[in-house]
Amino acid sequence: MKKLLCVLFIASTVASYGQSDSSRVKAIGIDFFKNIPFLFLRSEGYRRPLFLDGVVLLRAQRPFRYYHLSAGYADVSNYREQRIWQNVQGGYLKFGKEFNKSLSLTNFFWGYAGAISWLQVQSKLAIKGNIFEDYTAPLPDYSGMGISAELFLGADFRVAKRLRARLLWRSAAGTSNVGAPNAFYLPGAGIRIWNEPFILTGGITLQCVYVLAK
Amino acid sequence: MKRFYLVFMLWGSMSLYGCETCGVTSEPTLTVATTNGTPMNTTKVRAIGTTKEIVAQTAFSASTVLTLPINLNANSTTYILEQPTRQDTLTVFYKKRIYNVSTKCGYILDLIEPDSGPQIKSTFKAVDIRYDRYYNKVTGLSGGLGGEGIIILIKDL
Repeated sequence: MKKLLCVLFIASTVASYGQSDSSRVKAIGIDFFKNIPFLFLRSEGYRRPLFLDGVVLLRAQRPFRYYHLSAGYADVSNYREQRIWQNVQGGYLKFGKEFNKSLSLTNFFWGYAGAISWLQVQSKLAIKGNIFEDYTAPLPDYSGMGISAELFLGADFRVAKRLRARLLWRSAAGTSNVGAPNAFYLPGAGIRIWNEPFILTGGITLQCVYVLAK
Repeated sequence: MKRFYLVFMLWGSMSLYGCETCGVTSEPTLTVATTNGTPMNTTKVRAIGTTKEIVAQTAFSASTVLTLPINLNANSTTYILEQPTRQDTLTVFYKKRIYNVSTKCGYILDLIEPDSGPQIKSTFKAVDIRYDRYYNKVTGLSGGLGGEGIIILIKDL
Protein backbone atom coordinates (compact mmCIF):
# COMPACT_ATOMS: atom_id res chain seq x y z
CA MET A 1 0.00 0.00 0.00
CA LYS A 2 2.93 2.31 0.76
CA LYS A 3 4.21 1.71 -2.75
CA LEU A 4 0.78 2.55 -4.18
CA LEU A 5 0.72 5.80 -2.22
CA CYS A 6 4.24 6.55 -3.44
CA VAL A 7 3.22 6.02 -7.06
CA LEU A 8 0.10 8.16 -6.60
CA PHE A 9 2.23 10.88 -5.01
CA ILE A 10 4.63 10.86 -7.95
CA ALA A 11 1.72 10.86 -10.41
CA SER A 12 0.07 13.80 -8.63
CA THR A 13 3.40 15.67 -8.62
CA VAL A 14 3.72 15.14 -12.35
CA ALA A 15 0.11 16.18 -12.86
CA SER A 16 0.60 19.35 -10.80
CA TYR A 17 3.75 20.10 -12.78
CA GLY A 18 1.70 19.71 -15.90
CA GLN A 19 -0.94 22.11 -14.64
CA SER A 20 1.65 24.73 -13.79
CA ASP A 21 3.04 24.55 -17.30
CA SER A 22 0.07 23.55 -19.39
CA SER A 23 1.82 24.50 -22.60
CA ARG A 24 4.19 21.58 -22.15
CA VAL A 25 1.69 18.90 -21.19
CA LYS A 26 -0.02 17.46 -24.20
CA ALA A 27 -2.06 14.79 -22.51
CA ILE A 28 -2.60 12.79 -19.35
CA GLY A 29 -4.10 9.36 -19.24
CA ILE A 30 -4.52 5.96 -17.71
CA ASP A 31 -3.76 2.45 -18.86
CA PHE A 32 -6.55 0.17 -17.74
CA PHE A 33 -6.15 -2.62 -20.26
CA LYS A 34 -3.48 -4.62 -18.38
CA ASN A 35 -6.03 -5.88 -15.86
CA ILE A 36 -8.24 -7.48 -18.47
CA PRO A 37 -6.05 -10.28 -19.90
CA PHE A 38 -5.02 -11.38 -16.41
CA LEU A 39 -8.66 -11.87 -15.45
CA PHE A 40 -8.88 -14.54 -18.15
CA LEU A 41 -5.60 -16.24 -17.19
CA ARG A 42 -6.82 -18.05 -14.07
CA SER A 43 -6.11 -21.38 -15.75
CA GLU A 44 -2.49 -20.21 -16.12
CA GLY A 45 -2.32 -19.66 -12.37
CA TYR A 46 -2.77 -15.87 -12.26
CA ARG A 47 -4.77 -14.48 -9.34
CA ARG A 48 -5.73 -11.10 -7.86
CA PRO A 49 -4.44 -8.89 -10.68
CA LEU A 50 -4.42 -5.18 -9.94
CA PHE A 51 -2.63 -2.77 -12.22
CA LEU A 52 -2.80 1.00 -11.93
CA ASP A 53 -0.93 2.97 -14.57
CA GLY A 54 -0.80 6.65 -15.41
CA VAL A 55 0.81 8.31 -18.38
CA VAL A 56 1.76 11.92 -19.14
CA LEU A 57 2.86 13.20 -22.53
CA LEU A 58 5.02 16.31 -22.41
CA ARG A 59 5.67 18.38 -25.48
CA ALA A 60 9.29 18.36 -26.65
CA GLN A 61 11.00 21.27 -28.35
CA ARG A 62 10.55 19.96 -31.87
CA PRO A 63 7.07 19.45 -33.35
CA PHE A 64 5.37 16.04 -33.16
CA ARG A 65 7.82 14.88 -30.52
CA TYR A 66 6.88 14.22 -26.92
CA TYR A 67 8.41 13.06 -23.72
CA HIS A 68 6.61 10.07 -22.38
CA LEU A 69 6.39 9.77 -18.61
CA SER A 70 4.49 6.98 -16.90
CA ALA A 71 4.20 5.44 -13.47
CA GLY A 72 2.40 2.38 -12.31
CA TYR A 73 1.61 -0.08 -9.58
CA ALA A 74 1.21 -3.84 -9.94
CA ASP A 75 -0.08 -6.50 -7.57
CA VAL A 76 -0.49 -9.97 -9.04
CA SER A 77 -0.12 -13.58 -7.95
CA ASN A 78 0.88 -16.60 -9.96
CA TYR A 79 1.30 -20.34 -9.41
CA ARG A 80 4.31 -21.31 -11.46
CA GLU A 81 6.16 -24.45 -12.41
CA GLN A 82 3.64 -26.49 -10.38
CA ARG A 83 5.61 -25.70 -7.24
CA ILE A 84 5.67 -22.01 -6.26
CA TRP A 85 3.00 -19.48 -5.40
CA GLN A 86 4.33 -15.99 -5.90
CA ASN A 87 2.82 -12.60 -5.20
CA VAL A 88 4.54 -9.63 -6.78
CA GLN A 89 3.83 -6.12 -5.60
CA GLY A 90 5.73 -3.21 -7.03
CA GLY A 91 5.84 -0.10 -9.06
CA TYR A 92 7.77 1.55 -11.80
CA LEU A 93 8.72 4.88 -13.29
CA LYS A 94 9.21 5.10 -17.02
CA PHE A 95 10.60 7.88 -19.12
CA GLY A 96 10.94 7.94 -22.88
CA LYS A 97 10.54 9.84 -26.07
CA GLU A 98 7.72 9.56 -28.53
CA PHE A 99 7.59 10.50 -32.19
CA ASN A 100 4.22 11.24 -33.72
CA LYS A 101 3.48 11.22 -37.39
CA SER A 102 0.81 13.88 -37.36
CA LEU A 103 -2.14 15.18 -35.41
CA SER A 104 -4.77 13.69 -37.66
CA LEU A 105 -7.81 11.68 -36.56
CA THR A 106 -5.75 8.47 -36.56
CA ASN A 107 -2.25 9.16 -35.49
CA PHE A 108 0.65 6.73 -35.61
CA PHE A 109 3.53 7.02 -33.22
CA TRP A 110 6.62 5.18 -32.09
CA GLY A 111 9.17 5.68 -29.38
CA TYR A 112 11.49 4.28 -26.81
CA ALA A 113 11.58 4.34 -23.03
CA GLY A 114 13.54 3.17 -20.06
CA ALA A 115 12.04 2.09 -16.77
CA ILE A 116 13.17 1.51 -13.25
CA SER A 117 11.10 -0.93 -11.22
CA TRP A 118 10.96 -1.99 -7.62
CA LEU A 119 9.19 -5.04 -6.37
CA GLN A 120 8.46 -7.10 -3.31
CA VAL A 121 7.95 -10.82 -3.66
CA GLN A 122 6.11 -13.12 -1.28
CA SER A 123 6.17 -16.79 -2.10
CA LYS A 124 5.57 -20.29 -0.80
CA LEU A 125 6.23 -23.78 -2.02
CA ALA A 126 3.00 -25.57 -2.95
CA ILE A 127 3.33 -29.05 -4.35
CA LYS A 128 0.13 -30.86 -5.18
CA GLY A 129 -0.17 -34.36 -3.81
CA ASN A 130 -1.52 -37.27 -5.75
CA ILE A 131 -1.31 -40.17 -3.31
CA PHE A 132 -0.45 -38.09 -0.24
CA GLU A 133 -1.81 -34.71 0.84
CA ASP A 134 -0.65 -31.44 -0.71
CA TYR A 135 2.53 -29.96 0.71
CA THR A 136 3.13 -26.29 1.41
CA ALA A 137 6.06 -24.51 3.02
CA PRO A 138 6.74 -20.78 3.45
CA LEU A 139 9.65 -19.18 1.61
CA PRO A 140 11.51 -16.03 2.60
CA ASP A 141 10.12 -12.73 1.31
CA TYR A 142 12.48 -10.71 -0.77
CA SER A 143 12.55 -7.41 -2.58
CA GLY A 144 14.60 -5.95 -5.32
CA MET A 145 14.87 -3.66 -8.27
CA GLY A 146 14.94 -4.02 -12.00
CA ILE A 147 15.56 -1.97 -15.09
CA SER A 148 14.16 -2.33 -18.56
CA ALA A 149 14.24 -0.65 -21.93
CA GLU A 150 11.54 -0.82 -24.51
CA LEU A 151 10.55 0.10 -28.01
CA PHE A 152 6.94 0.80 -28.75
CA LEU A 153 4.74 1.73 -31.62
CA GLY A 154 1.08 2.39 -31.81
CA ALA A 155 -1.85 4.33 -33.08
CA ASP A 156 -4.18 6.66 -31.33
CA PHE A 157 -7.78 7.22 -32.21
CA ARG A 158 -10.00 10.12 -31.40
CA VAL A 159 -12.86 8.95 -29.18
CA ALA A 160 -14.31 12.33 -28.21
CA LYS A 161 -13.26 15.94 -28.61
CA ARG A 162 -10.26 15.69 -26.26
CA LEU A 163 -10.31 12.02 -25.49
CA ARG A 164 -8.06 9.63 -27.39
CA ALA A 165 -7.53 5.88 -27.17
CA ARG A 166 -3.95 4.81 -27.75
CA LEU A 167 -3.35 1.24 -28.88
CA LEU A 168 0.25 0.48 -28.12
CA TRP A 169 2.48 -2.48 -28.94
CA ARG A 170 5.63 -2.69 -26.92
CA SER A 171 8.67 -4.91 -26.79
CA ALA A 172 10.95 -4.73 -23.78
CA ALA A 173 14.20 -6.16 -22.51
CA GLY A 174 15.21 -5.94 -18.89
CA THR A 175 16.77 -7.48 -15.86
CA SER A 176 15.60 -7.86 -12.28
CA ASN A 177 18.86 -9.22 -10.99
CA VAL A 178 19.05 -6.90 -8.00
CA GLY A 179 17.44 -8.69 -5.09
CA ALA A 180 14.49 -10.30 -6.84
CA PRO A 181 15.75 -12.30 -9.78
CA ASN A 182 13.00 -14.90 -9.66
CA ALA A 183 9.88 -12.77 -9.75
CA PHE A 184 7.57 -13.82 -12.58
CA TYR A 185 6.56 -10.23 -13.24
CA LEU A 186 8.63 -7.09 -13.50
CA PRO A 187 6.48 -3.97 -13.11
CA GLY A 188 6.86 -1.68 -16.07
CA ALA A 189 8.26 -4.46 -18.26
CA GLY A 190 5.88 -7.41 -18.04
CA ILE A 191 5.75 -11.16 -17.54
CA ARG A 192 9.03 -13.03 -17.67
CA ILE A 193 8.77 -15.59 -20.42
CA TRP A 194 11.77 -17.49 -19.11
CA ASN A 195 13.49 -17.86 -15.78
CA GLU A 196 16.72 -16.09 -16.55
CA PRO A 197 18.10 -12.84 -15.11
CA PHE A 198 17.79 -11.20 -18.51
CA ILE A 199 14.22 -11.04 -19.73
CA LEU A 200 12.49 -10.30 -22.98
CA THR A 201 8.87 -9.36 -22.74
CA GLY A 202 6.24 -7.25 -24.39
CA GLY A 203 2.59 -6.97 -25.20
CA ILE A 204 -0.27 -4.87 -26.35
CA THR A 205 -2.04 -2.36 -24.20
CA LEU A 206 -4.65 0.34 -24.49
CA GLN A 207 -4.26 3.76 -22.95
CA CYS A 208 -6.97 6.33 -22.60
CA VAL A 209 -5.64 9.91 -22.62
CA TYR A 210 -7.20 13.30 -22.20
CA VAL A 211 -5.63 15.95 -24.43
CA LEU A 212 -4.92 19.13 -22.48
CA ALA A 213 -3.26 21.16 -25.20
CA LYS A 214 -3.17 20.79 -28.97
CA MET B 1 31.56 -16.43 -40.59
CA LYS B 2 33.28 -15.66 -37.30
CA ARG B 3 30.20 -13.81 -36.22
CA PHE B 4 28.04 -16.85 -37.06
CA TYR B 5 30.25 -19.11 -34.91
CA LEU B 6 30.11 -16.60 -32.07
CA VAL B 7 26.30 -16.50 -32.19
CA PHE B 8 26.16 -20.30 -32.45
CA MET B 9 28.48 -20.74 -29.45
CA LEU B 10 26.47 -18.23 -27.43
CA TRP B 11 23.23 -20.01 -28.32
CA GLY B 12 24.77 -23.38 -27.43
CA SER B 13 25.98 -22.09 -24.08
CA MET B 14 22.56 -20.65 -23.29
CA SER B 15 20.88 -23.94 -24.25
CA LEU B 16 23.10 -25.89 -21.89
CA TYR B 17 22.68 -23.28 -19.19
CA GLY B 18 18.90 -23.82 -19.41
CA CYS B 19 19.08 -27.58 -18.69
CA GLU B 20 18.18 -27.46 -15.03
CA THR B 21 15.51 -29.45 -13.17
CA CYS B 22 14.33 -27.41 -10.23
CA GLY B 23 14.15 -30.11 -7.55
CA VAL B 24 10.80 -31.55 -6.54
CA THR B 25 8.14 -30.16 -8.87
CA SER B 26 5.37 -32.69 -8.23
CA GLU B 27 4.73 -35.43 -5.69
CA PRO B 28 8.17 -37.08 -5.59
CA THR B 29 8.78 -40.78 -6.00
CA LEU B 30 11.50 -43.18 -4.99
CA THR B 31 12.70 -46.27 -6.79
CA VAL B 32 12.79 -49.72 -5.23
CA ALA B 33 14.79 -52.30 -7.16
CA THR B 34 16.23 -55.74 -6.62
CA THR B 35 19.93 -56.02 -7.30
CA ASN B 36 19.78 -59.39 -9.02
CA GLY B 37 16.86 -58.50 -11.27
CA THR B 38 14.43 -61.05 -9.85
CA PRO B 39 10.81 -59.95 -9.63
CA MET B 40 9.61 -59.13 -6.12
CA ASN B 41 6.26 -60.90 -6.65
CA THR B 42 4.56 -57.97 -4.97
CA THR B 43 0.78 -58.13 -5.36
CA LYS B 44 -0.08 -54.86 -3.65
CA VAL B 45 1.72 -51.88 -2.14
CA ARG B 46 0.22 -49.75 0.60
CA ALA B 47 1.69 -46.73 2.31
CA ILE B 48 0.78 -45.21 5.65
CA GLY B 49 -0.94 -41.83 5.49
CA THR B 50 -2.17 -41.95 1.91
CA THR B 51 -5.35 -40.35 0.66
CA LYS B 52 -5.54 -42.74 -2.31
CA GLU B 53 -4.51 -46.29 -3.08
CA ILE B 54 -1.17 -46.75 -4.82
CA VAL B 55 -1.85 -48.08 -8.28
CA ALA B 56 0.91 -49.80 -10.21
CA GLN B 57 1.76 -48.54 -13.68
CA THR B 58 2.67 -52.11 -14.60
CA ALA B 59 1.68 -55.18 -12.59
CA PHE B 60 3.60 -55.15 -9.29
CA SER B 61 4.13 -58.91 -9.47
CA ALA B 62 6.12 -58.72 -12.71
CA SER B 63 8.17 -55.69 -11.71
CA THR B 64 11.77 -55.73 -10.67
CA VAL B 65 11.57 -51.97 -10.15
CA LEU B 66 8.85 -50.20 -8.17
CA THR B 67 8.23 -46.47 -8.26
CA LEU B 68 6.56 -45.34 -5.04
CA PRO B 69 5.31 -41.91 -3.90
CA ILE B 70 6.95 -40.06 -1.01
CA ASN B 71 5.01 -38.30 1.73
CA LEU B 72 6.27 -34.70 1.85
CA ASN B 73 4.27 -33.96 4.99
CA ALA B 74 6.50 -36.27 7.05
CA ASN B 75 10.19 -37.08 7.33
CA SER B 76 9.62 -40.76 6.60
CA THR B 77 7.31 -42.92 4.53
CA THR B 78 6.37 -46.48 5.43
CA TYR B 79 5.38 -48.90 2.69
CA ILE B 80 3.77 -52.30 3.13
CA LEU B 81 4.62 -54.63 0.29
CA GLU B 82 2.25 -57.57 0.05
CA GLN B 83 3.38 -60.80 -1.58
CA PRO B 84 1.45 -64.08 -1.93
CA THR B 85 3.12 -65.71 1.07
CA ARG B 86 4.53 -62.82 3.06
CA GLN B 87 4.26 -59.15 3.85
CA ASP B 88 7.23 -56.82 4.16
CA THR B 89 7.53 -53.29 5.47
CA LEU B 90 9.94 -50.65 4.32
CA THR B 91 10.39 -47.31 6.07
CA VAL B 92 12.46 -44.67 4.34
CA PHE B 93 13.78 -41.63 6.21
CA TYR B 94 14.73 -38.36 4.55
CA LYS B 95 15.13 -34.69 5.26
CA LYS B 96 13.47 -31.89 3.33
CA ARG B 97 15.88 -29.19 2.27
CA ILE B 98 14.62 -25.87 0.91
CA TYR B 99 17.27 -23.59 -0.47
CA ASN B 100 17.99 -21.01 -3.13
CA VAL B 101 19.86 -23.00 -5.72
CA SER B 102 20.20 -20.72 -8.72
CA THR B 103 18.90 -17.66 -10.46
CA LYS B 104 16.84 -19.80 -12.76
CA CYS B 105 15.16 -22.02 -10.17
CA GLY B 106 15.21 -19.79 -7.10
CA TYR B 107 14.10 -21.68 -4.02
CA ILE B 108 13.69 -25.40 -4.50
CA LEU B 109 12.74 -28.41 -2.43
CA ASP B 110 15.07 -31.37 -2.38
CA LEU B 111 15.16 -34.56 -0.33
CA ILE B 112 18.43 -35.54 1.29
CA GLU B 113 19.68 -38.05 3.84
CA PRO B 114 18.71 -37.32 7.48
CA ASP B 115 21.32 -35.67 9.70
CA SER B 116 21.10 -38.45 12.25
CA GLY B 117 19.18 -41.63 12.95
CA PRO B 118 18.37 -44.46 10.58
CA GLN B 119 18.08 -44.00 6.83
CA ILE B 120 16.00 -47.09 6.21
CA LYS B 121 14.21 -49.81 8.21
CA SER B 122 12.96 -52.96 6.58
CA THR B 123 11.89 -56.53 7.09
CA PHE B 124 13.85 -57.52 3.97
CA LYS B 125 17.06 -59.41 4.72
CA ALA B 126 19.40 -56.84 3.16
CA VAL B 127 18.61 -53.39 1.77
CA ASP B 128 20.66 -50.40 0.78
CA ILE B 129 19.65 -46.79 0.12
CA ARG B 130 21.17 -44.12 -2.07
CA TYR B 131 20.17 -40.47 -1.88
CA ASP B 132 20.53 -38.80 -5.24
CA ARG B 133 19.29 -35.24 -5.61
CA TYR B 134 15.96 -34.38 -7.22
CA TYR B 135 17.61 -31.17 -8.40
CA ASN B 136 19.56 -31.73 -11.56
CA LYS B 137 21.77 -29.46 -13.59
CA VAL B 138 23.51 -30.33 -16.81
CA THR B 139 27.05 -29.01 -16.55
CA GLY B 140 28.19 -29.24 -20.13
CA LEU B 141 28.16 -31.97 -22.73
CA SER B 142 29.40 -34.60 -20.25
CA GLY B 143 26.11 -34.49 -18.33
CA GLY B 144 25.38 -33.46 -14.80
CA LEU B 145 24.74 -34.55 -11.27
CA GLY B 146 21.53 -35.49 -9.53
CA GLY B 147 18.05 -36.00 -10.82
CA GLU B 148 17.45 -39.65 -9.90
CA GLY B 149 16.09 -39.12 -6.40
CA ILE B 150 16.06 -41.75 -3.66
CA ILE B 151 16.91 -45.28 -4.77
CA ILE B 152 16.44 -48.38 -2.58
CA LEU B 153 18.24 -51.57 -3.51
CA ILE B 154 16.93 -54.84 -2.12
CA LYS B 155 19.97 -57.08 -2.04
CA ASP B 156 18.28 -60.08 -0.45
CA LEU B 157 14.56 -60.70 -0.20
